[in-house]
Amino acid sequence: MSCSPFDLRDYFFGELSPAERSSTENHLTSCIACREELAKLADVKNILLSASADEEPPRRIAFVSDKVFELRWWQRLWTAGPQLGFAGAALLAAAVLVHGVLVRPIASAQSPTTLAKAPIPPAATIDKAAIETEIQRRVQAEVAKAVAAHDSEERTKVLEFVNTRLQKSERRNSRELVLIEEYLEKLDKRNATVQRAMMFNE
Amino acid sequence: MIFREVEDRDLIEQARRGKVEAYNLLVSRWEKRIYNYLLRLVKNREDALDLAQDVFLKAYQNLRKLEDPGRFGPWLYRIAHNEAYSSLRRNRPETDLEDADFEPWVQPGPGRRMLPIEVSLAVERAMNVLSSDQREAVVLKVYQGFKFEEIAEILGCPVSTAKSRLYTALDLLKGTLSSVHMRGAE
Repeated sequence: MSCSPFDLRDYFFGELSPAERSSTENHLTSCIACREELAKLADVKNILLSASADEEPPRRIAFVSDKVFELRWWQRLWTAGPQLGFAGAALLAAAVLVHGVLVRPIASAQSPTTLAKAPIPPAATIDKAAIETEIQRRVQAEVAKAVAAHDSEERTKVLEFVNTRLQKSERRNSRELVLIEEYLEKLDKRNATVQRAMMFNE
Repeated sequence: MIFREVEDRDLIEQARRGKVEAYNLLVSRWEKRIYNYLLRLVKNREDALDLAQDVFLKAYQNLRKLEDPGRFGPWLYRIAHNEAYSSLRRNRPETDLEDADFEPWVQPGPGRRMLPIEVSLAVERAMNVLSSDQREAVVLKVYQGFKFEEIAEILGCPVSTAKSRLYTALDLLKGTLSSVHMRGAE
């Protein structure tokens, strides 16, 4: 048991505050038992470190640019907030532009005099509704197309992942089979030798 | 401009904004440490590499959940710890992990200096005597150099538990390794 004012093991692993550390160091200058205890700890640590150095990984870990790191479609959608905002704004601007272009000819086809006399045409509101429906229809069609494309991409990725795992497991199994075959072969040879020896003895 | 090395937290911020190269750099910085940590837990190079790959993939997918980018290391090790234990449970459900591969150690003659391979074998056997919790505490402290606070975070236990696991392990190791005399050491 150590008589140090603070746990020697905490001191050894650098877990003490500067004040505690200095107090422990003062104690160590005059206590042989604690110095020996500390030396034992250092021995164990040195033995552990000498026996097992860090090794380099046999292959590098795949990078994000590799296929395995690709985000799923919904993750891409989730992380693409600013881009989506910009795209939304662009879509809105386009819709306003289309609306303006399609509605104007109806008004300009009439002569300025009739235009002055005529009340505000109710046809403009009907056209607007039709255009909005058309825009809705097209946007929905585009979204459905994009979702279908992502779904098929997802299916491909899942299949690829499953195939890779299967191949890996097959490789491992075949390695194990080879080992088993080698082992059986050795057993056969050993049996043959034993049988020959028995026949010789008889 | 004062030069400073790009810190992990900067890389995490960039990776969160979609900069792929920033995450690649993080992988390069941590892959060796994570691989060796996993190797010491699962004791199989191919498994350790597969698990390391899974760890970095999971970390990338959950990067937004990391609350403090300054704690990337312990957070990454926490994922590695979970992956390793799931894998060990999957692969050896019927084996008690703590008793696996244990063989009685034949001690060398008194005072004889041991060859490096003999020291390695002695350490392997001594580590196998420890429980899996104690072994992991030794790996995280001695081989990976984490502070107790970080070890507790990785293992998901109080600091006092992490400390007690390590110190009990060291007491056991002092006993089992007392006969080891390294060549070149006095």
